[in-house]
Amino acid sequence: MAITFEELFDAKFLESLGHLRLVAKRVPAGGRFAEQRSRDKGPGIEFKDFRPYSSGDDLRAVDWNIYRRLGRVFIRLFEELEDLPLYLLPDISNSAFLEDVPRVRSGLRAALALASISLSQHDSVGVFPFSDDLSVLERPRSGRGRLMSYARHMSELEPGGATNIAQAVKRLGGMQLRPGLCVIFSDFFDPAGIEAVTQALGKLRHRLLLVQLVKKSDRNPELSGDLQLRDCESGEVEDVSVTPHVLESYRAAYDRFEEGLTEFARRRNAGLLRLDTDQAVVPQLATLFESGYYSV
Amino acid sequence: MNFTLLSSLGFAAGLFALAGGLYLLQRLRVRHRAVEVVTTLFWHEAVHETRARVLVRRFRHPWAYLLILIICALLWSAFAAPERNLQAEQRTVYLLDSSAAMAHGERFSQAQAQLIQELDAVPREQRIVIASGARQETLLAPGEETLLLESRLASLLPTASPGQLERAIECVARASEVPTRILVFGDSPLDPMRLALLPENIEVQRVPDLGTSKAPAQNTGITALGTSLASSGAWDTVDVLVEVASNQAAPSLPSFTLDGEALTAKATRRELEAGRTQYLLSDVPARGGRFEARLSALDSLELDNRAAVLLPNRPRLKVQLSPTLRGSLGNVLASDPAVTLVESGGDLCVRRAGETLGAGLPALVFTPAANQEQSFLIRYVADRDPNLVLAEAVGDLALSQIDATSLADAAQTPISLGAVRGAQREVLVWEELLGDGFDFIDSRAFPMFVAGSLRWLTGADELQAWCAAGETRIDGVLFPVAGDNTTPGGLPVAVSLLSRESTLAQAIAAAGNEESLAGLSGGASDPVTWLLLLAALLLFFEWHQVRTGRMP
Repeated sequence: MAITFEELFDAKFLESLGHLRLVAKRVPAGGRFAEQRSRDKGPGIEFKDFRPYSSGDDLRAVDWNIYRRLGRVFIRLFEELEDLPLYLLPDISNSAFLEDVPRVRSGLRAALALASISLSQHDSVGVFPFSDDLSVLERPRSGRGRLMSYARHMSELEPGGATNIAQAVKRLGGMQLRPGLCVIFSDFFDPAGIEAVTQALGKLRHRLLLVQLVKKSDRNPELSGDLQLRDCESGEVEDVSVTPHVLESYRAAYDRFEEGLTEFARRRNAGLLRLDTDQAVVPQLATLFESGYYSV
Repeated sequence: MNFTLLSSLGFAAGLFALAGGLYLLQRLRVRHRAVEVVTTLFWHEAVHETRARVLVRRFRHPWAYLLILIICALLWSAFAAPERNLQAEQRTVYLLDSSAAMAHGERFSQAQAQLIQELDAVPREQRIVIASGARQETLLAPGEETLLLESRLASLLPTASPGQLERAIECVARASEVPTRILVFGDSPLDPMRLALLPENIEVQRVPDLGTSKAPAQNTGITALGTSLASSGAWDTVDVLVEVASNQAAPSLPSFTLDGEALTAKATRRELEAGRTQYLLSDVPARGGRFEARLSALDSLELDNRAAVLLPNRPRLKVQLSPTLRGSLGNVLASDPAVTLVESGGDLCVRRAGETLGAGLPALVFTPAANQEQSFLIRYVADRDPNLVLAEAVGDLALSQIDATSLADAAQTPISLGAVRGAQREVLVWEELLGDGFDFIDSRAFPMFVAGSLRWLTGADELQAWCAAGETRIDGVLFPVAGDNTTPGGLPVAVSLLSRESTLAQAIAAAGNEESLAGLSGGASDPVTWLLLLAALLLFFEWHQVRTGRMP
C-alpha cells in the first residue's frame, strides 16, 4: 500500500483546497443540475432567449409583456446550469509504486484534491485507475459526502502492471461517457513511446488535463559505473556503462520526451502540470488555478 | 636494442601474454551492478554501444583492442627498460676528484650532487664512475643503477692526497678501446701537455659550476717540509725547511714541535713571494724524533694545517782505533765531527788484520795484499746481490773519489773492488795502500773514504729529506695518503700532504685550460622516457575517445 487512508484523507489538506474552483466555459448538454454553464436552455436563472410557445410548455415561462404588445405567445428561455463530469485516471502501474517516495502518492493526493473541488461544486466525479488497462474504481457520481468513500478506495489501490496509456484511453472512450474533463495522473513512461501516447490521447473526446508525475532524478539520474538497469514494468534489462557522454545522451532523450508531451498539450489545448512528487502537492496544484479558478 | 631487465624471449612472451589477456578481457562480460529503474526507455535510446562483452559473441571493437594493446605494449617495453645497443659507439667515464683539494668547504658535496644530476644522461651500460683520490676506485660499474652510487658516495670522503686526475685519465685512456668521453667533476688542475698526449678517441671535459671559481677558498697550508744535513757540519743535527703557502691577507704562523715539545731552535723566516713563506730551522737534534709543523688557525682546508717528518737518529760514532794505525788515521778520525775515539765500548773498530781489537764489531780492516785478492772488499750482512751492494757502496764509501789509476801504477797491479756476504759488516783494504809508496793517505779522497766507510759500517739509513703524499721518494717508495706509515723495510715514516695545488686550490683551478662542459644532454634520450610519454599520450587519446562516446 503506497498511501494510507489517513494520509490521503487529511482534513488540513482538503481544507486548503476550499478556495479553488473548477470552472467550465460551457458544459455539454444533458447533465444534471449543478453550477456549470451549459448549452441547455431551461428553467434557469440567467435569461438567454425567447421562443414561441408550444403545447406543453410551462405557462410560468410565458412572457406576458410580449403577448400584450404583440398578441403572440412567447416563452422566456434561461441558461441551464449543469455539472461538469470529472474523470480521474491515476496511473497505478509498477513504476508509480517503485521509488522511496512513490509517485502514486502524489498522484492520488492530486486526484483526491480535484475530486474534492469538483464534488464541492456538485460536479460528478469518476475514478478510473489504469496500468496496462483501465479499471473502474468509482463511477461518475456527485455528492460531497462521497469524498471519503473515494479516498478509502484510492488508498486500497495496488500496483497493476505495465503502463499502457493507449489501451486505457481506448477503454475509456468505449464507455461512452458524457464529455467532461479527463485528468490523467501519470509519469507517462509508456514503453510504446511518447508518440503512441499522444496519438491515443488525441482521440479522446474529453477535455484533457495531464498531470505529469516527475522527479528531479528523471532528468539527472544519480547513477554511475557499470549498471544493469532493469525496467520495473517490462522486466527488460539494459546494460549501461554510465559515462558523462551516456548521461548527456540520456538527457537528450528525456528532453525529447518532455518536448513531445508539451507539444501535444499545446496542440490539443490541454492542460499540463508537472508535479514534482518529492514536493508538497497543493502549492503545485494551486498554480493551475489562476485567481482560484481553473477554467476548462 | 636490448632490455635491461628482461631477455628478448621473456619480453616477447610477456607481450603475447598481454595480447591474449587483453583479448579475453575484451570479450568478457562486464560485471554490472543491478539497479531497478522506473523505465529504461531513455537509457535504451542513450546507450547504443555499451552492451556487455560476452565470450559467445563475436569479437568487436578491433580498433579499441589495438589501441589498448599498443598502450600495454609500450608500458611493458618501458618496464623491460630497453637500451640502445651502443657498446661499440661510445663510453663515458665520470671522474670524481676526491683529492684533498676537494675538502675545501662544500666543494665535494657539490661535485657529488652534480655528478648524480648528470649521470642519467648516459645509458647505464655505457657509463662508469671512478673516484680519483689517493688511488682510483670504481664507484659505479657499467650497468649498475644510479641508486647504488648514492649509497656509495655517502661513505666517500676526500683523501689527504694531492690530485691524481691526470694519472686517472691516463689509466682510463690506456684501457679504452672505444671512443671515450671523460667528464671530470672537480677542480684539480689538468696539465694541457699531458692531455694533448692522450689518444684521439679520448675526450676530456670538465663539468663546471662547482661554485669554487666564484668564491676563492681562504686557506693557509704547509706546502713543503724537508730535512737536510746540518749546514753547521754537525753530524748529530739536521736542518729543517718548512714552507707555508696562503691566499689569506693575514696567514697564521706555524708552530714547531719535536716529539710533542715546543722546539727551541731558531727559525729563520724568508718571504719568497706573496703568500709563500719559508722557515729554516738549523741544527735540530737528529735523535730519531718526530718533527711537526702546525698551523693553528681555522681555514678552508684542515688537511694541510699539519705536517710531520721523522728525523734521523745520528748519534756520534764511538770508534776504537788500533794503536798501530793511530799514526796513519788518528788525525783523520779526530777531525771527523761524527766520530769519538774511545779505548773500549766502541760501536766500530779500525784495526789491522789479525788484531783482536774490537772483535765482533763492524770494522774497517787493513789487511795484507797477499791475503786478499781485491784491493777493497766489502762484507755485508743482508741477503742481497753482491754487485748491487757494491754499486751502492762505491758512492757511500766515496770510492769514486779515489784516483785508482795512480794507485794501480804504484802497486803495479790493478785496483779492484769486491763484495761478499759475511757475518758482520766490514770494509777490508790493502794495508799496503797506507805505505809511503802510495799517496793514498795524502789524497783528498782518503778522509772521505774513511768517513764514508765508518758511516756505512754503522748501517744507518740514508737521510730521507722529505716524504710527501702522492710523490715517489728517493728510495722509490710512494705513499699515496698522508699519515703515519712504514716503509717496505719496516721503518716508520711520517707522510704529509705537502700539496701546493691542494692548499691553493682556487688559484690553481683557475689556471686549468681544459675544455669546459657547457651542459650535458638531458635524460630525454632515454628510450624509457619516450615510451612512457607515448603511452601517456595514447591513454589521453583513449580517454578522450571514451568521453566523446567514440569508443566503448
